[in-house]
Amino acid sequence: MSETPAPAATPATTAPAAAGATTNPLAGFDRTTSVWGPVTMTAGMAAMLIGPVLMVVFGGYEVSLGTLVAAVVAIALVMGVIWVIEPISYFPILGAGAMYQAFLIGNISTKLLPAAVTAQASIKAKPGTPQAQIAATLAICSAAFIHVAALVLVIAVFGQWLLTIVPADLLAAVTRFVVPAVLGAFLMQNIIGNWKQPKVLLAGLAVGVLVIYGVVPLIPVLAPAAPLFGVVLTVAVVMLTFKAKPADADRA
Amino acid sequence: MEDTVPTLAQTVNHPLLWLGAVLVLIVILVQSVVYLRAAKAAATSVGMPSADVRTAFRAGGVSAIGPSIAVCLVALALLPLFGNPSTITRIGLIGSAAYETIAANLALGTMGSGLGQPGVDGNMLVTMLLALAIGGSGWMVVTLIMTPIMKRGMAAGTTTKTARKRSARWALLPVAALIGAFFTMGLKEVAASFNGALVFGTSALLMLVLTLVAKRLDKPMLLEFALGASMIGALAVGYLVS
Repeated sequence: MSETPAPAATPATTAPAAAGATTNPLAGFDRTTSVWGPVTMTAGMAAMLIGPVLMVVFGGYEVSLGTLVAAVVAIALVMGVIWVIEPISYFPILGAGAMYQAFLIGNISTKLLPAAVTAQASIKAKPGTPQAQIAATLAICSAAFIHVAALVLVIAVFGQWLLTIVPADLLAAVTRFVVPAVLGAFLMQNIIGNWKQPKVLLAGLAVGVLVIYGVVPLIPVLAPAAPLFGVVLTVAVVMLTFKAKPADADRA
Repeated sequence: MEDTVPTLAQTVNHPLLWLGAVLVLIVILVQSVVYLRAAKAAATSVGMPSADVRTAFRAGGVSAIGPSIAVCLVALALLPLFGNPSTITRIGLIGSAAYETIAANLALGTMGSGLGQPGVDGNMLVTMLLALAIGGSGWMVVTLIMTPIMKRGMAAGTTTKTARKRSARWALLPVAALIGAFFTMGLKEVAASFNGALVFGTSALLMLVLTLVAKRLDKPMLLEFALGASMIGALAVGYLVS
């Protein structure tokens, strides 16, 4: 095996002599994913948009530009921060190639990362090795197939049947309570995950109480913008109180 | 017929929406096959045994089954409003049942309605779906732009002292934004109704208990199911009290 003429199998003992590309055993993988990652992600974006767009162009449905912009802005104000922070925070964990997988199919922290970590543990791959990266990619591919299979079975094939056997009042309850049922667990997950940032948690809680029990009852028109107030005020409080530390450090 | 607005029921299973859903699934499969082949070729070049390749692939798939089922169960709740094809499109790509629910509610809110409310017609649904699709593109556009930049930045690999100092502060910004947004949104649900508050509290409590149990028993696998289990438990409480 070690005598195969493949250049990547050569041990890196002659590092200065080796050309840049051949020293990286994953150069071929990086080349493939740096081309096909963006291509497939762009295709996914197009596929996501094409249904509703065709409905407007050929389906005879009317969408007012003003309403659409207002809806997108409403989503962007609350979620826009996540669009930016998630890719940046996951990059060091995923690496460039897997970024295009993860942000195509989503469920990164709840599905893809656990799958990748489980796969790495199952073959005892050390973090940071090519084996670990390959195991993570294999796991994410596998998770993607499960993801598609679950969608086809539970939603496309048996979706309507499941809806008929599940009592209507149960589905009504699920639809009605799904938002608080998700938010409770998700907020707790973030509280536990940021337990070592008590100042941020207290600021978020204080701002939330102020906005929901103070501002919104006084000025009900502002209710839709409540999450934005939550974001801006909490960020402002945290950033302003953070100033103390560098100032102390400069004095010392 | 031409002058009246199509109803929600007439719209949700439109063939054009199905076309989009099928294309979404095809793109995911094509990408996975491309990556799988690249990973297998890389495994060969680093001398990784094919048994390890099979084990890693299987382990990843098995651990994804639980979360996938949890995601689809919640997606089932979106089915009456979104319809089959749009549920597949929205849940199949980036985003989550949680995100889509919140975003759909925000989008319908700007049209004076809300998720699950009776007044939603075909035009409102299409507007909402378009807004959700543009919203979902947010992650992808940022990923397409930022990944090559971060890759270069990582390759440069130099972190000066001032950069590290500044980054400690900037690292707090997304945390603060997230915490601020979700405390406010959570309290909004708590303030809305007693039952909503009960469901919210149950969900948070279950998550806390499951996380503590997972840590005590040293079973990180439990954490994979924690979000889904908390959601289902909280929904059960909501069903019982409503």
